[in-house]
Amino acid sequence: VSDREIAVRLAEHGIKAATAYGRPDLADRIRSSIDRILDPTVRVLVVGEFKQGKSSLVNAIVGRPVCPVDDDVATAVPTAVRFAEQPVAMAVVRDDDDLRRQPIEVTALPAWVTEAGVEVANHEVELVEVGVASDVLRDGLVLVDLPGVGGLGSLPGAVTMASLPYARAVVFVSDAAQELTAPELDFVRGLTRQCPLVALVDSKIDIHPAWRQVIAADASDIAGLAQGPFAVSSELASKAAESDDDVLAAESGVVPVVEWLRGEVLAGAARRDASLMAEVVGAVAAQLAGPLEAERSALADPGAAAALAAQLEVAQAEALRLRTAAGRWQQALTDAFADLSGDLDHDLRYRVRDVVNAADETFDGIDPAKTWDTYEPQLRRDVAGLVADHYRILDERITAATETVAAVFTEDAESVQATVREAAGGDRSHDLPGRSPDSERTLTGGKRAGLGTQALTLLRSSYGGAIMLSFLGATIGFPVVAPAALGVGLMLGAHGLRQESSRQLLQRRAQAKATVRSYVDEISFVVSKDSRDRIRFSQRHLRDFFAARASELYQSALASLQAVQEATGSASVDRETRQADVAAELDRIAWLARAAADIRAALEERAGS
Amino acid sequence: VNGVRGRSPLAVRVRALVDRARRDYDGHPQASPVLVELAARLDEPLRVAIAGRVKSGKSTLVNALVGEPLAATEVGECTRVVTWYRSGHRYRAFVQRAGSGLEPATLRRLRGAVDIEPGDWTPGELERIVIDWPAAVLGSMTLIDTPGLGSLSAPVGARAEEFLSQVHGSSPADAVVYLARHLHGADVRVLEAFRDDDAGRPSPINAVAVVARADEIGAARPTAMDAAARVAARYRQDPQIRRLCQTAVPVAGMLAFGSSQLTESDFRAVGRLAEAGQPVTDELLLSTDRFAMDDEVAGLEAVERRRLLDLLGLFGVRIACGLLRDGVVRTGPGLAVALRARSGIDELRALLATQFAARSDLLKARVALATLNRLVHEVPLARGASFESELERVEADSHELTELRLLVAVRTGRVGLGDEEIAEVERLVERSGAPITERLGLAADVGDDELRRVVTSSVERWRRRAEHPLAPRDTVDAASVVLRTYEGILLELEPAPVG
Repeated sequence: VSDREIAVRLAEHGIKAATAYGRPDLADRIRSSIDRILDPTVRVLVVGEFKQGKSSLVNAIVGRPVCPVDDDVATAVPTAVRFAEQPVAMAVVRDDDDLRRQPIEVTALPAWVTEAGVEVANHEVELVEVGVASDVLRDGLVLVDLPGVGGLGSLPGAVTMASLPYARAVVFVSDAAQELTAPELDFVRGLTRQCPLVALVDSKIDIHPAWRQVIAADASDIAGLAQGPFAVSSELASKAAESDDDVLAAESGVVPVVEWLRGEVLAGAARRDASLMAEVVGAVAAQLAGPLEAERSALADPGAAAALAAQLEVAQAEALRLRTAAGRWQQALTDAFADLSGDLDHDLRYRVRDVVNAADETFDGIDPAKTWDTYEPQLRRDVAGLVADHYRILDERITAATETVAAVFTEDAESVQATVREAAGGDRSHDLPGRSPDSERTLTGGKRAGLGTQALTLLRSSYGGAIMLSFLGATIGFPVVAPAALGVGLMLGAHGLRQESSRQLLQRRAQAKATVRSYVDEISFVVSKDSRDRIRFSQRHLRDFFAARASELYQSALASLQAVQEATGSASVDRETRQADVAAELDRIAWLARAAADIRAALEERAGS
Repeated sequence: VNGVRGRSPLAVRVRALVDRARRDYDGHPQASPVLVELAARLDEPLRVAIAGRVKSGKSTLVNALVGEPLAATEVGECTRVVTWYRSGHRYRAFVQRAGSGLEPATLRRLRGAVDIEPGDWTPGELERIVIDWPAAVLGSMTLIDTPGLGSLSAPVGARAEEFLSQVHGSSPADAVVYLARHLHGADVRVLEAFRDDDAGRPSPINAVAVVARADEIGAARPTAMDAAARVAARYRQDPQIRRLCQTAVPVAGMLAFGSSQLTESDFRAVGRLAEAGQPVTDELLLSTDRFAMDDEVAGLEAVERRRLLDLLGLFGVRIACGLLRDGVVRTGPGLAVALRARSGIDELRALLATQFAARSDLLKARVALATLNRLVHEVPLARGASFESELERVEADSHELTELRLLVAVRTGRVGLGDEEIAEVERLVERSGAPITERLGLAADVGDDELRRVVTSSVERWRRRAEHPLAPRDTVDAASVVLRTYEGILLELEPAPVG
């Protein structure tokens, strides 16, 4: 039984319990997490320099020719390969400012994703999705074949970096013709800073006799950084697939890569998702237990019921406040995101200003006509670095803000829970794993950081799904001014300079500075828009997430109050029967909570081993 | 005769300028050594740097061009010091430390390649190694093997960049052959960075790109070189590359060199392989691992197969097998010629001969003028004004230099000419080392009268273009240059018609 199946079964129990106790809101919370378990998309980026065999590797992994491969023409559009029973292809096309999905013929893929095709068809294609019935992909694996990156300093390189938070793993491809180059190794280092799962594949081992030496050299280069290197020949793999040749398939070296994807990547993701599910079910169990515990206290000591009800009214009021704009977490969220947008806006401005100032300084002492050509590659590197850094900071800040808000929320939620618990009178006989008094675990069933992690995981998966598409494309399709066009004006009159007046030199300087400024402005406009979109999306998502949790707390407090009121109204004979029922029901919920806790513990133990 | 010029008027004027500078700067501690070296350089063969990213096959190409195993080519990174291969009567080696002169060193053979005995220097302090070698090709050009760009070893990478971009001093190379497995972003950036002032930068004048290790394209299938030819053709059309390089050609350096080292017993080994039948060889040639396996296959010991693999690569062995099987070649020398023909090295040699060697005066003149220019600005002379204006005059009214400027302008798309006109200008100027018929795009056997007729009509056509009252300034300027070039050709044709 897979981790995902276990999680689904647990979830079904949770939903049944929530429905039985009249809490559709809690059932919905579990259901929304089930969707993630059942649609376990795990994105793996396949990156590397040009013509290293990335598309061939994707084909070798899925066991059929999906991504167009050409001796000459390179992939120009990101291609996401996912599972589908029937072959299907979809292009995400830019229409002015909107993204439109449009079905395309599978056989027409080359025209949509290769350099040559894109040039000829002149499509504004942002991304192409292909569905194939490959067993490797059946469990939710999505391989994203990215266009080649010209090192960290290139814009596609920066874009790859920016999309890392939304990918589970990265496969870096470099052919076995030679050891990793310095730019490649730098890139791998950059990847590992933001994505914990990076593997190196040394491709084309069928044509390089000395591939073992290259592998050995690469292994020591990436030791402690990335996994692998895996020695692979996609060519042999495709021949093996054509002729059903198992020996050849083994020689191709693709199997260990598939195993890595299945084990480390997919199983790891399943473990994480299942653990998250168990955490949610545990939290739901705690919510369900609240009213029953209150009822139990009221039944046990009818005399104290009035005081109990009064206290629960206080808790209810507190929970209500948490649900409305008066909640402290609301303020924390607003503040954190106001700071964050301000800071990121400032960050971008600051970085842009640095680049522009550096350009101004560069041109003040010299004649741009003579130095533009050496300066321009530097400018492009600077801008790519600026973009990559900005996105890294954006991700770090959103993570931090989420944790801050989660901490504030958890504190207030605990106080509501403490009020309820105090009212229920300290009987520990039915203590649930989700609410031990040392408050290491909280009402919501997770560790202190748990709620933040949940919120962030949900944020990333929903953001990744909705926006990574447009984002990847939008940034790769940056309005990059054709490099040749940048300096053209400046080159005019580059000869016979000595006869020129200083006025012309000044004019050229001004022109050079203006060129730099408009180039940097254009890029930063796109980045700042995307950055603001991400911030707005994240804020809205977090608000919804915590509001839903607050609402659940309120419902629990309300249910507790009603249970107490009903208990005080009942006759003594009924009371005894009811007491036994409540005890049995609490046992059932305790079982659910314990099952959730056990599953989490088992998953965590396995992840650690 | 036809187009191959003697010492050009420009070369004579530049020579005079350098001699004058030597007199004017005589004894100047900074300028004098530079000028002595510059004067010597004008008499030397053209210096051609072989540049590219790490492991792009630079040393292999040096060996292929010379036809001897000179530079070490191993799996790891080989060339760590800039190495000059000069023509010499004797086998000799020198090393040069930063800031000092050449010191003699002892040559030795190390695993087939030429190396120097260790001395009291560390490789890190060596600025360059100089190897004198009696080889025909070195008589027309000195080859400079450079360390790879993008090396994991920071000092090596830095040395390569320093050599190529030459922040200070005059550009050490007159021309550059840039090797790239795939010319993409990073390579273009490197090419862009390769420059000092006007003369050293890669331009349609002094740089050619080589699609290197071409045999490895497309899984080393027998069609690899055709694919490489398509890649090269695309590069030739790419505006970014066009403004940096004159042209791009595919070369399989390993195959080119390996074919020159093929022995009779290698030929017999390939023969046995071919006889084994296609199913056996296909299976065996699936991968290098299979081909190099320990067992005896097709009557070939592992050691024989491994030698073939080292020599020709998987692609080379695959096509050699095919050539013998199909009866295309029947002898060892025949196989060597056929393989060399497929390697693309002949095309590169021809290109270097017409584009670099035949124009070496012009290329050297550009470097010399740039060096003099810098000198005049860095070390002004009391009575320097007249020298400076002489320098400017040479730069301004040498038609060859004007032509080159036009070529660069055309290549960077700054001149409003039609596509056909651009192609015409490119052919005319770029191929200035080639026969006139080739420059005009005519058949080689075209008669003198026809030749004159074509040139005369071109003169007329470009005159109308240059004198058109509504034409924009840049077009008029460009047309005037082309007009003068045609007039020059007409003059060349008049007094002594080609026989």
